[in-house]
Amino acid sequence: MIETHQLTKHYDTKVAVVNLNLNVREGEIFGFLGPNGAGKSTTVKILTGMIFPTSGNAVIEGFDILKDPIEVKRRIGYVPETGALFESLTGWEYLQLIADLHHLDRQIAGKRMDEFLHLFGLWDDCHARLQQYSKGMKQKILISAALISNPSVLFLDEPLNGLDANAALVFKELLKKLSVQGKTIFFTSHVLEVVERICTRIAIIDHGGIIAEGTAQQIAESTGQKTLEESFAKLTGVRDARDSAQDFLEALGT
Amino acid sequence: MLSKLFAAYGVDFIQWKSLTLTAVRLANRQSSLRFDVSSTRGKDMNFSLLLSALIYLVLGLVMTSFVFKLHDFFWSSLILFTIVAFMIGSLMLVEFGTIVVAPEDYHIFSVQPVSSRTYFAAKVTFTILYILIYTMAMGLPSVIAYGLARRVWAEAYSLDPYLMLGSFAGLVMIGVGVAMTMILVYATILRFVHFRKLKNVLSYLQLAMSFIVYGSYSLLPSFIEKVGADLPAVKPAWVYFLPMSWYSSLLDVAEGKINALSILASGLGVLFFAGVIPFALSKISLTYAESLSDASTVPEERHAIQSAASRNVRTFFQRDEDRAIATLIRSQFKHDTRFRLGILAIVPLTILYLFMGLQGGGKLFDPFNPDWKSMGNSALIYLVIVFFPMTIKEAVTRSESYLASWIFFVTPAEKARLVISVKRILFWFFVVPYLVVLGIVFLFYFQNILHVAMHLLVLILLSYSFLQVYLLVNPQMPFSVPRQLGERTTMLGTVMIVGPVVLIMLLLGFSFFVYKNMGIYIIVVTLLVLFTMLLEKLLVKRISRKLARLEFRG
Repeated sequence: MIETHQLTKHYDTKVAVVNLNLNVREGEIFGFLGPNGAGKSTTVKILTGMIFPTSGNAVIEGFDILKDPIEVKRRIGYVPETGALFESLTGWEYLQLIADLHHLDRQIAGKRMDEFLHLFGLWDDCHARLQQYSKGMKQKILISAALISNPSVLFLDEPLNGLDANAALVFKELLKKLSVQGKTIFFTSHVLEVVERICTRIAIIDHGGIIAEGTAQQIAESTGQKTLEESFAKLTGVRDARDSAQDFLEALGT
Repeated sequence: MLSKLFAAYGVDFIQWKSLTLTAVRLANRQSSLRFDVSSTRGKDMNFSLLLSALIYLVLGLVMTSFVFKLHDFFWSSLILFTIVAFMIGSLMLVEFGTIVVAPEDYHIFSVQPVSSRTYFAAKVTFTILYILIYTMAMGLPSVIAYGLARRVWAEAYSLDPYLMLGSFAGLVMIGVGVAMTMILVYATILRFVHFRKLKNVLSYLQLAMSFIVYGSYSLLPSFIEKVGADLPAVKPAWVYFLPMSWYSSLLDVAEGKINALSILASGLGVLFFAGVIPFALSKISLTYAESLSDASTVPEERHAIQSAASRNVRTFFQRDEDRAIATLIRSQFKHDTRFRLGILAIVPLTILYLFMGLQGGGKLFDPFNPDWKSMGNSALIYLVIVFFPMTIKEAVTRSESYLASWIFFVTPAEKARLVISVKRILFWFFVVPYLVVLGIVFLFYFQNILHVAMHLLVLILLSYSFLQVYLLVNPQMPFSVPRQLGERTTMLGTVMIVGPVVLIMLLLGFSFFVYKNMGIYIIVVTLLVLFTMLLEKLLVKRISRKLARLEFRG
């Protein structure tokens, strides 16, 4: 589970996250939404220990990210939005690297790597460099790397990026089964339909703070809208989409 | 007015201005020497480029001593121009992909309505500006010194504008000429290379170019020696085979020593300068950036077999962190051209300095039987040994793959253990093999296996402790810091100024006190071992504390 208390992050004078309080329960697929620059990535970076909060704290699986970062990291898997990988490594070497960093038993790691690579259809290319992989293949390696240590909490930042329709379908089913097993999944995406369909609970962040929380239906009802998409637009202060589009056309003089 | 002039040559003035300004801004903001000032209007002003040029200004001020000491404008300018040519050559060598043409340019500009000609004009403007800043930092003090020299020697009462003009023109032609020659050599060879092989060829080409650049610098000590001992009134014919002498002849002309040889030599210099520019400039284009871009994005054929070396590396190291870092460094060395070059740059330097060492009486300086005649030349090889650990530490820290280093911040590996693994891998992969090869060379010349073994042990311990110190000063995760323009420019300047002092002190200390007595040697080696152990403890303590607050840079 994931808990944050008054989590705040400043970048010089800019406030990225302010007094954020979250409580994600075991077995939940928690959708974390927000417009660009709302503080989503900063929150994920803090929760995964990549950066430090200016104040407040976060507890993951009972361990404080500031006091016991290593214990937290033993229990998490992360798929970053950037898709950044050491591209000079082969797919096999990259997974080995992650397994070593997690101190995984070599035999267990080898077995999992074999299985993931076969399941994702990457076996034939596993000794080719990541530089030679397509975007979808790289994403599959990132997902495999996040799962290889069998973490109890998964942070997924736009995990479907680059995946073909079949792989995306398999991955969404996998998430549901993992949540049934009791894994906590922190899911960040801009594709609201996907979030609406697979997340058991959703929070919307804007200007560094939570502005709505609940199931997709609860959020829609509380804003008087029919869909999550419409609620999101209303909550994050976006003007009527049709008016905005018209203004763009007028600015172009057409 | 300017717009029309530019348009006449097919260059969009507004785009040119914007592209040049952007290049200058990026150079300032990406420089390793950050020096940001907030102006009254609240905008950030950056002077990093100028600040890193200040290091070269220090060298320039030192070089004015040649002007006042030698009493011969031709010879002093020959030394000055050779040093400037070496330094500019080195800059171009290490910063080529950033100053002249960057592969990412194509990704950004190919989708914009920028013509190849406009891109080219902006790149040329920036390259010349960049080169001139460093050329002038090194040369301008000497230009002023040439103007004042006769007054200092009480031969005249006013500034000599002709000498100033001659030396200034020589400097500009040397700086820009060297830069353009290197662009020409690069681009011409790359024309014949398929883009799939471009990255590899580029790295070996850079290595070959470094032989030329460092080789020309290696001539400098013998110049100084010759010039210092005797200033021949009639220059020997061989000196005119050196391109720098063509530009030194400009000072002969400015001084009024006009004869067929000085006119011919200076004319040759001007002709070479005027000739190389159009050829080189024709190579800087968006099409060329496209070739470089292709080289970095077009995949090579896939190899689906795990190499035996990869398996051996994993078997050799037992700690998980060691295995992870070994896999990464080995792979980056194999496939990351810039990382490989950062390490391999040691090879030409070593060979050239060994060659120079052998010029001093045909043998390398043996610290057990110090022969001061050969020490001067041989000392340079130790300069390389001292700074090799720093070079590899920098190479393993700064990388274009820095965004991928998020993994070190998310996995449960302790950052301090990872840094210690980096130190181990660098030591075993690069430092030890390098020193063992040098030991074989020493054995050939010292003819005494015990001396070589003792000397090698000291060098290994020193290199190890240098590596510890560099990591202690600035511990970082591997491949986790973005590359910055001028990172090596600053390092190069620092090495040239600080290096010789450290080196001479160490060499003198060991030759005079340590190697003379086996008892003292054993004590010093024991102390060195204890020192490395102490450093190791400090290193673990400090990096554990410092890295605990280290944040991901992406």
